Amino acid sequence: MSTDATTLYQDWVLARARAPLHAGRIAGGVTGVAENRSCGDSVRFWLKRQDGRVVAARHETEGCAICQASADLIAGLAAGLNEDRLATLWEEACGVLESGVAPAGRQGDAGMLLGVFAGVAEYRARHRCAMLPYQAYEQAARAG
Amino acid sequence: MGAGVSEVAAPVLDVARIRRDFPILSETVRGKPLVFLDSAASAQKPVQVIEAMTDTMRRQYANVHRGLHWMSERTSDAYEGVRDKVARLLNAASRDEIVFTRNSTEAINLVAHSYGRGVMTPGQAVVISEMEHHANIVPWQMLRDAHGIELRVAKITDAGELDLDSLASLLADGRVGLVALTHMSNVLGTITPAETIVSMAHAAGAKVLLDGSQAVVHRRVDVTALDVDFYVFTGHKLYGPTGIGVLYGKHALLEAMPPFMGGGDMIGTVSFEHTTWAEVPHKFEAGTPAIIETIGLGAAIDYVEAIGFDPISAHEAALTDHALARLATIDGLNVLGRAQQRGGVISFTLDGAHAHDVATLLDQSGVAVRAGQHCAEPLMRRLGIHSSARASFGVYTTEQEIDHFVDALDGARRLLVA
Repeated sequence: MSTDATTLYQDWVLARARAPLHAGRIAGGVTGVAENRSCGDSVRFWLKRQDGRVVAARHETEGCAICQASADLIAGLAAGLNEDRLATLWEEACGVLESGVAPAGRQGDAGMLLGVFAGVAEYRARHRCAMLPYQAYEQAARAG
Repeated sequence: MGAGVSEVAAPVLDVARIRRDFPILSETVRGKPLVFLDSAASAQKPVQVIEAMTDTMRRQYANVHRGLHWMSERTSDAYEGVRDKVARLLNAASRDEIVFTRNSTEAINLVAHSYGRGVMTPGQAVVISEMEHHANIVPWQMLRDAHGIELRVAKITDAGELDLDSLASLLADGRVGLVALTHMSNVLGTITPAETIVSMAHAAGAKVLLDGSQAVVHRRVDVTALDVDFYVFTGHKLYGPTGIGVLYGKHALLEAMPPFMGGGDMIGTVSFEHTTWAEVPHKFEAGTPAIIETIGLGAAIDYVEAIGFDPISAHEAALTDHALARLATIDGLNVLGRAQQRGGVISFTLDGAHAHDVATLLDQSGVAVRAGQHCAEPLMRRLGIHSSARASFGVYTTEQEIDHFVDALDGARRLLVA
């Protein structure tokens, strides 16, 4: 399979990277950070819990368009899914990185996240860009 | 085997002819012709190097220095002949001043370990600069932490040149034992004023190590004229193989330094009670060396010397000027550094676009550039950026390739920047 610029950098990926919906901090939230030492990119996640559930998630991301979009989609999903369902989705996304094929029919942030991972699958050096935000999310989740 | 390119006339490079020597340049990437602008990371290899190495394995290979048989003697001759070639390349006073290492990093570590721990004394200082590769930072930090050596960092100017006032102030108290600086920045392309650095350091009683990993590719280096104490470079950036690097050291300094690693080939006599060392440079070459790679380096030196450093320098200067002029036409593009003296390395950022995205889009056009921190994280911090993209040129780079690169870069900008 070969992807081109229009597959990897679809309009909605770039739009989400330029104007993230969930960027920012949460006062009093738990936080976690992940960094890519080879390029200097970093993602910090903030999570707010209520009754054991994540009810709000924000991120501060210094990174490429793929990393920005991935972080924003994960933040959106973290506040809406329970942690087990997000972990399952993450495993599915990692599988898409291997196969390069996103499952059909998925909607919303989950569908877009799988689309990002399908687009970047061919570029092994960029896998870390897509995966970095989840490491920051996991750290925050463990911290809380 | 001959070095080839014998009919290339100086000072103008016959680039089309040179390109035919590099088989990989006829490959395609993602269906596009390969435009390889990442030679500063590792250069491509001419067929003369490839054949020298494969011929060694096919026809003339045995371990060196220790065999009494014909094949070992001939292989030893070929291996040691490269030491002569390196000595000539650098204009060293003696072949014994050339130590083979794995790469520049190992050569710097050798000096940090052996000169740093064996000759320098706690309380002395090492000076590096803000534009060093990690290979010329971390070994000195390790020396600092293990041996009580102070590590001082000379500033660079906003133009990306070494701040000589800063260097002078760091040398002023006379406690600096060694100044270890790049001869050409792998990020900024800045060529540092080696003669001035050596003069200032020696006046302050300090020795000088120059990291020539980038510089030796682009210009003639004369260690005797420079009066530099240590000079390091690596084979794979000089169109040679990986796994072979060089440390030049003044003979008296190498004599005074203890071995770096112990083992076979670096000894005089061995008993369970006591071991004596081999003479310099073998004292620093423990174990079976990278025989095939060393012979490959010899072929690479033959190759660049057959072309000539004057036409190489002229070609790369013309390419750099052309690239800088073309890049200046791209909105939002910022070239890092504007040193008066620079080699064929250009790093840049693009407003509103990340270097990784830029590099991936260039890759889709067949253009290979480096993106990231270029093993120079402190320099990125000094420049106030997280990462950059870098295009670097070699003897095989053409003006048409640079035009293709700039056009593809402008296409990436149009896609990435709203």
